[in-house]
Amino acid sequence: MRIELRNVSFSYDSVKAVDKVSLEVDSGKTFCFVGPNGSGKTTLLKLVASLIRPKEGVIYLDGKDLKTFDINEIAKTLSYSDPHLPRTLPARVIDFILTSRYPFHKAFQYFESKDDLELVDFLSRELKISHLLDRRLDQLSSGELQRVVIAAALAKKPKVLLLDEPSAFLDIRYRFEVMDIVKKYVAKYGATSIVALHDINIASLYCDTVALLNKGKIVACGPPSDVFSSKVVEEVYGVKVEIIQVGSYYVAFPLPNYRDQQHT
Amino acid sequence: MAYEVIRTNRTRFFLLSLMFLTLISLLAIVSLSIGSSAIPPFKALKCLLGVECYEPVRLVLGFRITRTIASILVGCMLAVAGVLVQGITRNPLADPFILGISSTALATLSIALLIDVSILAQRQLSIAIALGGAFLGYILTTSIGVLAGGTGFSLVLSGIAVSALFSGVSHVLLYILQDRFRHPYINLLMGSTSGVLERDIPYLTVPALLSLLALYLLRIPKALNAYLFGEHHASQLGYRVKLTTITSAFIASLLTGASVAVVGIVGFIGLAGPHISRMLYGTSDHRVTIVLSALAGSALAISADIVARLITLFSTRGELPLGVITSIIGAPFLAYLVIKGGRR
Repeated sequence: MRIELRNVSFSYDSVKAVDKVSLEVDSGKTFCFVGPNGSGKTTLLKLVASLIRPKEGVIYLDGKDLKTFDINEIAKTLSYSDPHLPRTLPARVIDFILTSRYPFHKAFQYFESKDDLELVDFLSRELKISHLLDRRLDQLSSGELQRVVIAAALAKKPKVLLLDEPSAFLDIRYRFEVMDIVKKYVAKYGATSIVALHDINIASLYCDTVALLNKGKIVACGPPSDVFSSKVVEEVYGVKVEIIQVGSYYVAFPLPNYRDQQHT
Repeated sequence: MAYEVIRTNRTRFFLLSLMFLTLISLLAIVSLSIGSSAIPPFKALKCLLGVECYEPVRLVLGFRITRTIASILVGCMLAVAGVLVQGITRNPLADPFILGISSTALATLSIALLIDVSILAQRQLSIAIALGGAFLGYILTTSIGVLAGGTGFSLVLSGIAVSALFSGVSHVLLYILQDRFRHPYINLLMGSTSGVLERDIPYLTVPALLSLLALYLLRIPKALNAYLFGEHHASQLGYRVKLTTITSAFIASLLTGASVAVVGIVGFIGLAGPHISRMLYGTSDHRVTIVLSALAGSALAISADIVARLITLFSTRGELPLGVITSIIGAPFLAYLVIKGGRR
């Protein structure tokens, strides 16, 4: 599904969080937002997820204004994963993942169907969480929880996958595995994914297009190797970024400033 | 794996429901045989089934059947109200009594009685007034809770403030009005099934059935399941979060209001019922816990009513209110939950 943002702005009270952002993402592509804390990554995801409405500008899904979509249609098409799950009342992993199937239930269907369960089984094998299904959410490690959150996002079989920090809290192996699964899913179903990332290393490896955000504005946008080799990244983050070619990959490495001083 | 987990759960749901229904039936028979004149359970059962029934036994049984049904219904209603408020506040310590909803319901009813005491006899009107008071109480408590920081504990503290204030107000008003009541006014403050008449039963049954039907038709259980994992999670699944919370609060207010108007304030059942059901079932899936809580609440209320009558056997000073017993059982339970919650 093709996503297009045209001059989208949003502000919390009087603080501008997103400022006239325009972008386009094609089907089958992984688009990433990178940028420092508070640069508007999460707000942009929420705007596309239709959880908040833009104050100005328009968001199009396949050329159709997002505002004109029915709430249930959005629920079936888009998947937004919020990494901050409230865990005050006891709930198990399987209960959480199965809630993602609710939009597909028939009007008065009370419990889930066999197909729902088969899908959950499939996803939990992919994400290696089968052994966690009957565990309670508050008993999971943050890495396990992260994989569960992604399973819940995929359980909708969404055409648009919006992920907020999917690689946070994961160890190196799962960081790659989770992104591999996302990429595989996007390719297989012709879906579109927009991912907010902190880790520019992962971003340089997995994103088709990277948009660097600063104070609600896109300051650089393009293929990762271009964006990360520009001076803008260093200005925005205030750290040095080195692009290293490893095999056929261009990997971005952030380096602390003091190292540079030591060498010279 | 998923299939096995879900199948185990369905079986557990079925077995627990069966267990509760058996327990409630047994307790009901005990409840019918206990009182100032004891009727052996066997004799009571025989009379109930119409095998053999003498007139005095029939009369006594008639009263007891009414109050047994009343306590079953009140327990069920309060426990369902409890699951609902726990669900929408995502707070395991919430309960209509702790959040002050019962007290505001009684306070509004008392104000109405001050204006016209005959309202108490007009059940529909008094339920409507208590419902209004309960809903306002919910809004008041949650607003203060948000102002106090919006945490789980600030909500409970705000509930305690609201509850104390409006219990006091109700107490004063009912004290002034006490000469105009048939029954001791303390019965409304602490809840008692002793004054419930046969014609009052529909005023509990109808709100209870309407609420359960509304919950089913509006698909509230699933909406609450989604809401369990956050507002964003629920809205990206297509649920209108504000509508869900307001509707659930309204239904909880109806359940609380109706039970306050008919039997008075009975505390802690709305806290204990849902917790027992979650503990036994192992998770918060509202499609199951609403049903199990209703059953657990009924079992609790009927047991408390039996205990109240057993204690009354040793006294000549009239009946002990039901709410006293539920407080004695419920408050330590609350303390346990607070300790458990604080440790985590």
